[in-house]
Amino acid sequence: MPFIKIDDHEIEVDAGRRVLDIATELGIKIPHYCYHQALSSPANCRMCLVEQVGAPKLMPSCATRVFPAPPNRKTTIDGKEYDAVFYTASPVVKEAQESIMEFLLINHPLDCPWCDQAGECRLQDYSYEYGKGHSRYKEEKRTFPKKKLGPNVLLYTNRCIMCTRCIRFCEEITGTDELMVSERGGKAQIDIYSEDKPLDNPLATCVTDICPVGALVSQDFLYKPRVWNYTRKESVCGMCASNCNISVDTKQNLIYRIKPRENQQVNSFWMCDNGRLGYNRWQNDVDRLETPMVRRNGHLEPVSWEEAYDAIKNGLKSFRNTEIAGIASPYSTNEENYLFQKLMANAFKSDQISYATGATWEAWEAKKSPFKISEFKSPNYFGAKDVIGNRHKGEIIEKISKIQVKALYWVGGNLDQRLTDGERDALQKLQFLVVQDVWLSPITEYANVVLPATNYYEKEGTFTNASHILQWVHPVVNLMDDMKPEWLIFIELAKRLGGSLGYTDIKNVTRDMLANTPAYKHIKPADIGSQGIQTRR
Amino acid sequence: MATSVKVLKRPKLNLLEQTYLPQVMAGLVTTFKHVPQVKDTVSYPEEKWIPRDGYRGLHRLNKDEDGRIKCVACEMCSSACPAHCITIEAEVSPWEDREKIPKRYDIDLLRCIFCGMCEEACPEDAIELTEIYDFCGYIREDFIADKDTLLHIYDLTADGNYYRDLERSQKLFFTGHKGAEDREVSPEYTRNLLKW
Ligand code: SF4
Ligand code: SF4
Ligand code: SF4
Ligand code: SF4
Ligand code: FES
Repeated sequence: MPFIKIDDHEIEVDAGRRVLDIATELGIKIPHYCYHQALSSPANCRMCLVEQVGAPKLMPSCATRVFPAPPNRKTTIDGKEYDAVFYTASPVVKEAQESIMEFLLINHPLDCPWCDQAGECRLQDYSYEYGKGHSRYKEEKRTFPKKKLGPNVLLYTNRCIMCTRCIRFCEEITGTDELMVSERGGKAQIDIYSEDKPLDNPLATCVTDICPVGALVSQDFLYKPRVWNYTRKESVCGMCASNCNISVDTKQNLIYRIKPRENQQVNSFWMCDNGRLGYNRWQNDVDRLETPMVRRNGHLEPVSWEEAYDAIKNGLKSFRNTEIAGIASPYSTNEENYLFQKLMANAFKSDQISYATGATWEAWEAKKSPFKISEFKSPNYFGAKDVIGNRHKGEIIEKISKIQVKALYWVGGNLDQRLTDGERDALQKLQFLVVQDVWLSPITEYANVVLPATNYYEKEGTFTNASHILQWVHPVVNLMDDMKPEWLIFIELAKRLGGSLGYTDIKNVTRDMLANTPAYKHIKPADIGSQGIQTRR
Repeated sequence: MATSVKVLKRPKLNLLEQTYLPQVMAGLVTTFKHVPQVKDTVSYPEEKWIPRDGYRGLHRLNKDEDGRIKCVACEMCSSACPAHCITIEAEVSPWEDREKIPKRYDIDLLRCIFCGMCEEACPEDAIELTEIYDFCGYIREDFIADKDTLLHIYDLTADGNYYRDLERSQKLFFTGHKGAEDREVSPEYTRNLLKW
C-alpha cells in the first residue's frame, strides 16, 4: 500500500485511489468543478491542481492516482520516505487557483442577482475563497441566449464553465446520450444533439443538481425564493417503491424544491423527475380532505373527530366479527399498517385484513448505472406485504361480493385510485364502509364515514423499498389544522371502541412493529440510521 | 462603614446680592441674546422641517430611464434586513435585458427600523430611503407599502426633496393612499381603528 503525505497528513492508502478523494476523506478541501464522485474525471476545469513533489508541474488531484513508487523514485522528506507527497495550499497552488478563477470568470456574466444558483454556487464560493477579487479582462463578454433543453431543464450558456458534468451524466448514468459540446473554442457550448431528442429522460433534472454553477436550472425552481430562505428537511420520496432519499426545502409550510440526498445503497446521488416534481400535484392540484365526514341523507358532511369515531362505533355494532374486514394501504408507513392490523384484531376482533397494490406503471432502469424507478407507484408496497402478510385485497372483495363480509375499513392514499367493475359491485353490496383517504376518491363515493389521511410528506415512521431496505420517513410539512397523523387515528379509534392499543407515541410503535414482524425481527430502531437498513439477510 | 458628614455653611450675601437684581439681569441677557437668532422650531404641520440629504425615511422603488422598475427581485434587501420586513415574490421579466422582476414587493413599515441596510445591500440601486418622514395610516394594513405604493413614492420624490414643494407636502402622505380616500367607514373599520 502506498504511503503518502498530503499537507501535514501522513497516510497509507489503497493503490489507485484519487488524491482528491483521499484529501476529502482527510478533511482537506480541494476546490473542484468537473470531478464528481459518480462520474469519470476528464480533468478539464483545472481547479483541483495540487503540487506534487518531484513532478514537473501541478497535477489535477481529481485524475492523479497514488501507486507505490519504485525504490529509487521515493520522495524523502525530513528523513522519511514517501511514495508521493502533495501540497494542496502552497503558494504555487494558490496562484494557480487564482488564475483559474480569473480565467473561468472572463466570460461569466454578473447574473448573481437573478441566478437561481446564487447561494449554493461553487463559482461564488470559490471566488470568495480562492479568487483574486478583480478581473483584468476589459473586452466584451460573449453572450448566448438561454435555451430550453427539455421540458424540465433550462440552459444559460453564459454561466456555463464547460465542466461537462452534464454530458457525462447522460453518458455514464442514464446512458441516454442527449447532450454534447457543440462548436469549438470561445463558442463551445452545451447543446442537445437534435431538437427531436430533447433532454427528457426520467432523471433529466439531476443535471441541475450536479451543474456546479447556475448554467443548468430546473424549470420548476426558476425564480423561486432564494435558497438560503428555506428550512431543509430530510426524508425519503414516496412517489414509487424505490424510496429515493431526499432533502426537501420548505418555507412557511410549503414545499418549494426537492433534491436527492446521497444514499449509495438506494439512489446514489439521483432521483427521478417524477418524484422531484410530484409535490406540485399535492400542493396545487389536489383537493385534500381536511376533516372527517359522515354520510347523512346521502351526503358526506364534515363532522368533528369525536362524531366520526362515534359513527364508526355505532355503525359497526350490529356486525359479527367475521363480517368485518380491513384493507390496508401501501401508502401507509409500516407503523400505520401495524397499528391498523392491531386495531382490526383488538377492537373489531377480526383477522380479515389484506392490502391493496396501489398504482403501478412501467418500471424504468438507467442503462449505465443501477438506478431503477420501481413499477410500484406506492412508497410502501413491500412493507405492507411484510407487515400485513402476503394477503391480497382480492380475497376480501370476493367475500364482500358473496356477502360474507358486510362492513369494511379501507385505508386509501392513492391519488390515482380506480375501481374495477367487480370492486364497484362489491362496494355497493357493503352495508358499512369506513374510508381513510387523502381526497374524495372513487371509494369515498360508497363510504359511510370518511377520515382524512396524510401523504408521505406528512408521515412519520418507516417505509420498506423495493430492495427491502427499511428507512425512516420524516414529516417535512405540518398537518393542516383539523388533521391527525394516521397512527394517532388508529390509537384513538381503538380506545373509543374499547380495545386500547397501549401506545401514546410513535417511537414504541416502531419498536413493536419491528419486533412483531417476522421479516424485521432482527432489527432495532437504532439500527435504521439515516441510510436505512437492509431487511433481508 | 463610617459615614462622614460635611456640614455646609449658608454663604453670607451682601446688600446688592440680597436684592437678586444682578442674577435676574444676567438671565435676561441670555434670553435677549437668543431673540435675533434663527429659530429651530417649526410650526408643524403648517410648516415642515426639511431633512438633510441622506435622511432615512419612507422607502421608494427606483425606476430606470425608461420608467421600468429597477428591482430584479434578487432578495438581497430582504436578506440584509435585520427586521425581516421585506417580502418579495419574483416573476418572469417582460423585458429582454433582465431575467426577473418582483411580482410582489411588500415592506412592513411598522416593523422597519429605517436602518437603510436594504439600500446598502441592493446591487441594482433599486431600493432607496427617501426624506419622507410624516406618513400615516388608519389601520395596520396601511403600513404595508406594496410595489405600487413604493413606485408611486418614487414619482413623488424623483425631482428633488419632497418637502421643498410645500404645497404638495401639506397633504399628509397616506401610505395606503390607494384605498385611503375611498375606503368606506364601516362598523368593522371603526372597530379596527379602536383596536389599537
Ligand atoms: S452561476 Fe454562480 S456566479 Fe454565475 S451568476 Fe449564477 S450564482 Fe452567480
Ligand atoms: S452546463 Fe453546468 S454541468 Fe454542464 S458543462 Fe456547463 S457548467 Fe458543467
Ligand atoms: S430600512 Fe432596514 S429595517 Fe427597514 S426595510 Fe430596509 S433593511 Fe429592513
Ligand atoms: S430592491 Fe434591490 S436588493 Fe431588493 S430585491 Fe430589488 S434589486 Fe434586489
Ligand atoms: S476537478 Fe480536477 S480538473 Fe476539474
